[in-house]
Amino acid sequence: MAESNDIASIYTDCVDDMYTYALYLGFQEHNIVDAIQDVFISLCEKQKDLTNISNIKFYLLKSLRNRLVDIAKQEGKHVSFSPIIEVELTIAETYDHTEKQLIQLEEENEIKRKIQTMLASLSPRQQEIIYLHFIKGYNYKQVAELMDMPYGNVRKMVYKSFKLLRAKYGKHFMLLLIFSPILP
Amino acid sequence: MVDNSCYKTHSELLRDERYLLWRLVPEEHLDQYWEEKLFQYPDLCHEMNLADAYLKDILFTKRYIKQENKEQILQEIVRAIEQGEPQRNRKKKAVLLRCKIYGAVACVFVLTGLFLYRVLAPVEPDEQIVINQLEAKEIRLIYSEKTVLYEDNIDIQIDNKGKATIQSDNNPDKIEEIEIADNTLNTLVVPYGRRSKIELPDGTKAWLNSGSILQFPSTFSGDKREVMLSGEMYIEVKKQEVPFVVKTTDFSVKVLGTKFNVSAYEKQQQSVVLVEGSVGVRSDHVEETCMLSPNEIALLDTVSASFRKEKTDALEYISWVKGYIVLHKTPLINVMNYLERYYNVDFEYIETPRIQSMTCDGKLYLSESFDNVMRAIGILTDTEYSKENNSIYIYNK
Repeated sequence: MAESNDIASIYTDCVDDMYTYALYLGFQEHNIVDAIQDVFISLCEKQKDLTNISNIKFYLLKSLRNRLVDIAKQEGKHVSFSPIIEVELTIAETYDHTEKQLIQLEEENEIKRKIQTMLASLSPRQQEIIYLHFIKGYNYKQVAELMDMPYGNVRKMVYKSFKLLRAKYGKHFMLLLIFSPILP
Repeated sequence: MVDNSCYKTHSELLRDERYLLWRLVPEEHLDQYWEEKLFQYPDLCHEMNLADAYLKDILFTKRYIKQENKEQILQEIVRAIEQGEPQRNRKKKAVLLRCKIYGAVACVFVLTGLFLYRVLAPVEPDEQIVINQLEAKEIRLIYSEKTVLYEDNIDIQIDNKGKATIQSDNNPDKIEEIEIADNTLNTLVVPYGRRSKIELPDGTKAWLNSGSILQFPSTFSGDKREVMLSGEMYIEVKKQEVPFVVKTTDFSVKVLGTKFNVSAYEKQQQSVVLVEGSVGVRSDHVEETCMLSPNEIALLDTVSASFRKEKTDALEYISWVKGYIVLHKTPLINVMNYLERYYNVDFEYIETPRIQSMTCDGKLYLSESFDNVMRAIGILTDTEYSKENNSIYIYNK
């Protein structure tokens, strides 16, 4: 029983992060439920000793991603990473509300719209990199491993995103560019 | 550096593309720029943390798996491990799991049906007339057997000589004055999709939510100040020696001077939430008075007709005054019921079992445009809708 207790606490710690990632990857609820279940069961089958896996959440996210990609192939469906653009209703992880009230409502909406359109101008993979790096805090090496891509490609994609966003939104950058010698 | 932008708040940071790019697609020369800024203004660190939290929240909000799924999956996993179950049986189990979920949803349907049947049955004729007025488009003020209709949301102020000043929300220059006779009981009917504010002769301020009716006297006299409410109201009672009483069909709230929200809609959980001060809440059928402290909610149990007290965040319950509702692990179906009442529509769900089982967190803006709200709901639930008069049909994409 000790083993299943361990798996239960790992499960409780990780399930919401796995669910969130899968939703943003563009999967339907029932596929996600199946995939999470599969990932945990095969984890237990393969790995009797869970303490051998150093970064368990990372491992789980990677396995989940692989499993979901398989499911997508089986069903012949095309799914792509996309954040849910929520115009009015957010399904939110609540952080301190009193701080939030500092930003007035209309202003909040304006900022929100801008950031969301910025993100929407990027490709699904570019968005996924931002999700894994900025939100989940993985470094680019880990991001590359998770997304099954060579490290160099991840760096290239980040640089491409940067150039694209700068061209679209970077009116403030002109000065920065002139005075910054390291830029191409 | 020529640039000498100075940032004081996180919203200033969020409005600067350089900040957004630095966070989202970090590049070396941006590091340099922001490190210099941080060196110049060390306090900026705190604002950066706030800006980051906000940015993460709006870009990729964390979502939570449904509690029932969460438990089911774990049970399946544990069972599979214990039985050393071979891989190929799994698919079957997943299907079984889904059947169980649908079963649970069906149960919810049946229970809701029974509940609605029970509460909907008796409606007295008089009440019926007023309830019909809730279907109207205009806010109406009924006084001394006269009725005035207002197309805009209005702000009413009644002074202690019985003079009412009525100001339109959309057009603040449009002010109207009417005389209300002494010692009459007046009625303010706020139909679906509308809100209204009223200041009573004693200086008490009340905000009425969509689909609410308030009855109030032209002047308060005697040993208590009493108003009658059906629907929802946030009220800031002016402190006086004479107690203030809010009566609803099933209970009454007695106070001296406080701020609180009363929700007494039919078909909904009835409750009282205290923001400031102290109130006593008493069901009409039970002797006991339930005393509330700030940030406590009293929930009316319709079966035992008594109140149950819980800790809560009172601000969540009065956000509608500002035009949005705050949701915290709220079942989506409750939100849909809220929207039905708020915009006076009927939702028809066409084979969309997900809606019955989702929950949501965050803010829902009660936009003046019903379509805006429905667009958001559509994105969240993967559904589309079509309109036919007051009926809204919701179906899967």
